[in-house]
Amino acid sequence: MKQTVQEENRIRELLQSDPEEGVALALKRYGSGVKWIARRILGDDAPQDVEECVAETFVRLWQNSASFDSARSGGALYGYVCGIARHVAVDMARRRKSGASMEEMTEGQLAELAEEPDFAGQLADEADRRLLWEAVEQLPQEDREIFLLRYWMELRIKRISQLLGLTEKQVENKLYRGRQTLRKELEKRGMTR
Amino acid sequence: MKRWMEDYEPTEEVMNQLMESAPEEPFAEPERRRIQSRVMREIRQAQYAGREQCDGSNRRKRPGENGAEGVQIVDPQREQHPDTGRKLARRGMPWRRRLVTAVACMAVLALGTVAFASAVMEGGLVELLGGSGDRERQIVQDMGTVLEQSQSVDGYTVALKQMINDRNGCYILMDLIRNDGQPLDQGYYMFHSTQIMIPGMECSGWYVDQPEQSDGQTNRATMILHYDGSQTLTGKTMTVKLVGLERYDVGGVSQMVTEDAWEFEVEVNDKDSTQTFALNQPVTVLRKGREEPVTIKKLYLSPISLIMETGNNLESYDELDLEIRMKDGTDIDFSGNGYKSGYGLLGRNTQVDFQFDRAIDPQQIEGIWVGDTKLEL
Repeated sequence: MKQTVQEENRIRELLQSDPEEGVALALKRYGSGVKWIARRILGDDAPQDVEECVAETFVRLWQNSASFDSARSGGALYGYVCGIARHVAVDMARRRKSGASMEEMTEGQLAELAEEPDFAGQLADEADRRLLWEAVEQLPQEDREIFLLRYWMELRIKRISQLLGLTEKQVENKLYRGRQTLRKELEKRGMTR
Repeated sequence: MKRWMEDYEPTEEVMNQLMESAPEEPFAEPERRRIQSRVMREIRQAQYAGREQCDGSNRRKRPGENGAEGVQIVDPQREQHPDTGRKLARRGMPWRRRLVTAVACMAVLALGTVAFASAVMEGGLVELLGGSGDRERQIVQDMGTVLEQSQSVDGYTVALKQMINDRNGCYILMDLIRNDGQPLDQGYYMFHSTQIMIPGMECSGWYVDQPEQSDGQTNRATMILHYDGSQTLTGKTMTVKLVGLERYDVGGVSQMVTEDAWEFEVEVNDKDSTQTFALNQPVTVLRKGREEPVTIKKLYLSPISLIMETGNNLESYDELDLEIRMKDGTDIDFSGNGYKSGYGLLGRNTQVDFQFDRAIDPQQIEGIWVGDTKLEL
């Protein structure tokens, strides 16, 4: 952990004092994860968008490196970078889809829009959200992966099924089970009202 | 639920497990270096824009000066164009495919008796940019310059072979040669850093690419320096300093071959093939699904690039929906594989650059369209 903290501090310092070295180090350290997120969200058939997303992520990392809270625990910079990548990629994907009309959406896609009761919508503040995130991380690995692909990376069920080699029904079932598990976990913590 | 997960930041362990669920090919080093160059263009652009807005100073910072990080900043109004920051290549394969042919066409020069081609440029960039069209090949030859410079450092020679330039940008073809005659290992070779210095330099972008992986059979690899800037390049002396050589294997593991540097002074051809068109023409671009008016103020066209100045800020060069149609019915491919592009912001203006990956004859252009509007050249 000490090494991670030192490494993060060095990347942050370099991003401000020597951006070329800082970006090089950050790309080596976080590039694979960022590209993975970009490619999952933007698709395998959009390598140029993926590259643009990765580049934009590291530009934003540089822009925000001074304001990143160094008091956060070691390893936080990795998650922070992944968070930026997710935002950039989702924004790009939304822009790409902005021309698609409702008529062009398949029945399945329309059904997805109306799916799932938003029990997390009852969570009111930042503290609640952090508890939800902790609960998600406590899910069994396979359920957690599907959860993150669906709700964090906003992938469609069909895409998740293709990535994980599952049927769409299996993905839906796992998401349903995951939501139930999560609801119970949050109830245990006195969260769900 | 999605709303509550928006700001989630995974731990490294969670992220690693997530990545294992759908494995991805390694983030290859050439790709990483290409993206790094692209990021640095953006950062230089932002540094420049911030400086202009914050302190109003136009004093040039020298490369290496504290805080400069190799960014050259001068008065953006002094030259013809506003400042620009180039984004990097959005493609690589067309170069690579043609490089195989190009390299095959180039004479293999024996080490120790380095001899250079005649003054007429053959092979190399002629093949890469000229393709199979006689007219296009002639254009490349007319615009190109044979370079006759080589330098050996720590057992490796860098030989500059050819250059083609227009007013603002250039490509330099070079060979990296292992002096002991042993083959270069399979993998990619890259310079640790590349420094470019030009008198009157403004914010510029450059990178060196090794389009084709070393085959493990020969002692040389071909590399291409891509450069563009907002200042006029023609007739100037360009200092190219290549610092340190690194080797990357296929898995992306790097090894420093040498930390020494190669340095060249290149006299840039003073022939200016760029035509300037003052348009001030209103067009419509599509932004986030909505049509918005934009004015194309100026257009700079050469056989290897097109630069547009707009009177409005663009969020992306893609908004222009650019199409160049040739008289023979073909289009310049702007789908992402046929050009490099970038844009820079200066106040309310945007400068958008497109560098073609093949030379074109401007006389053979049927028309240039932005969206549905044909530009009045």
